[in-house]
Amino acid sequence: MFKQLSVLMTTLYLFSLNVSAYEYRVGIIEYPPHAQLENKLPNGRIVDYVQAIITSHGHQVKLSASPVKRALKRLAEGDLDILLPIEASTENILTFTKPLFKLVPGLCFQKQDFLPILSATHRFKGMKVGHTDGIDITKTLDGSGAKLVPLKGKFALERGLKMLKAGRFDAFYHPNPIFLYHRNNPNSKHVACSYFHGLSSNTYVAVSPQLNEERRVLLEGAFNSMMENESYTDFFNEL
Amino acid sequence: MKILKFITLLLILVSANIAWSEPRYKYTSESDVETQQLLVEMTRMFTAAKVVIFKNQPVINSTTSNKENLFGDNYLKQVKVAYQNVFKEPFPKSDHFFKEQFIACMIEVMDENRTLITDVDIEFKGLIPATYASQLSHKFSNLGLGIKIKFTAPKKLLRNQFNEPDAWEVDSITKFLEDSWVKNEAYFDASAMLNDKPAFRYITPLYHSKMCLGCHGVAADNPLNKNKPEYLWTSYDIAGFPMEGLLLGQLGGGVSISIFK
Repeated sequence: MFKQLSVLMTTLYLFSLNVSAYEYRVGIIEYPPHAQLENKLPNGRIVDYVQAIITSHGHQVKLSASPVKRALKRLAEGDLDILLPIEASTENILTFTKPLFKLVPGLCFQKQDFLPILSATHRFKGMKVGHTDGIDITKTLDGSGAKLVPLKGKFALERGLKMLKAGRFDAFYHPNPIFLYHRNNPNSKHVACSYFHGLSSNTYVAVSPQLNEERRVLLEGAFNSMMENESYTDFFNEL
Repeated sequence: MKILKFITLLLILVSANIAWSEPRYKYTSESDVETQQLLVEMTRMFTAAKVVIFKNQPVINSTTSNKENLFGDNYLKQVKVAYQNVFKEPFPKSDHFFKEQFIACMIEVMDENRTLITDVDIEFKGLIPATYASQLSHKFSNLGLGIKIKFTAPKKLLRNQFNEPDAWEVDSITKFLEDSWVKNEAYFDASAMLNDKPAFRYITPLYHSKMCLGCHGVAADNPLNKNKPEYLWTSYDIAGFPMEGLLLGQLGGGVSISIFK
């Protein structure tokens, strides 16, 4: 009896979701390597992830990309239902409670040179550390006596990793190495990364205050459920 | 009866979902006593989670062991056992949103370290009680729920700048160092401030136990010196920090929790 009722309730629940199929207007902020623009249309793993969540519940997705300020205005006015990714959660922006993913800068090393605890900053002294040009370097590293070497160009990250593997750098600074040092990423066979944990921040899905409460709750439930099954980090690193 | 249970479960799930969808959690409590009890339990959960990390150092740093007991429900089971062993009472019920989220964070921190923990090429992973505590506190405090937890220490013992104590914590730690302070007694302040906002604050002193001395003690405590003649001993710990020379039972810092009102 209990099982039958469970099946009935679940079916009704799924049916109710399907009959009220809705086209979610999803704003994407350009956020390489997770979201890029191609012919003005957003694509990338974060777009795939959102689409997978929404369409698996029988709804449609209408994607659009805007610069951050304009996107936030559109979200506030109800021209977008959700917007992502948004770094940190501020007082004025409504977001889902659970972050989509965490941002923590770190250092990557050849495994034999791995430094697991980066608060031991005295160990950076004299190290040659590569990084992509133009990114913010944490003060902890900048003032540590490490020799910082910026790499310019579109494929600076890839080149930096090659140079690290070849022993031309002692370490390579990465703004979020969890997407590099991951069990599904082939780089993790040779390279290991550790983190400046105190500098962590979260990345969220922002929600329009105009979005119907019921839809918002259902959508957040769908995101939570997906994230429990497969986090965005795992999804990004799928082979 | 079963139907009733099922409907109740559904209602709980629906209400939980609604609560979770709020962007900010507004803390309310019946009394300061209730708040203090919540903070006591959370501090103890934090401590129990660190104990598990300490006890599992051989497994964490092994390149061959099965690590499945370090993740998900298996890890949580270990934390519950450690809680019972250390505090001689059962692990608290998940009857508060903060506790639910805190438990979720404990498990997530382990999961975020999965690649490192399961790395078959690296022996010392650096996932020690202190680094785990830092990661857990940063993760939980960054959820934007109006609650902050910090694993802090007196400035002269501080190894991680991000755990630096604020003025209230410095004052509290100073009190802990006074002869008149009763050892192990925590300090609760129902009318404190945090970042210029009114907050409940609670700090528990941490005294050096055996699990701390391998890094913070004297050279004889250093596992790197084990089975070596004394003239070959190093006074740098496994992470490369100079050891502070602290002794068993000396104050090392505190676990500080604050809830915005």
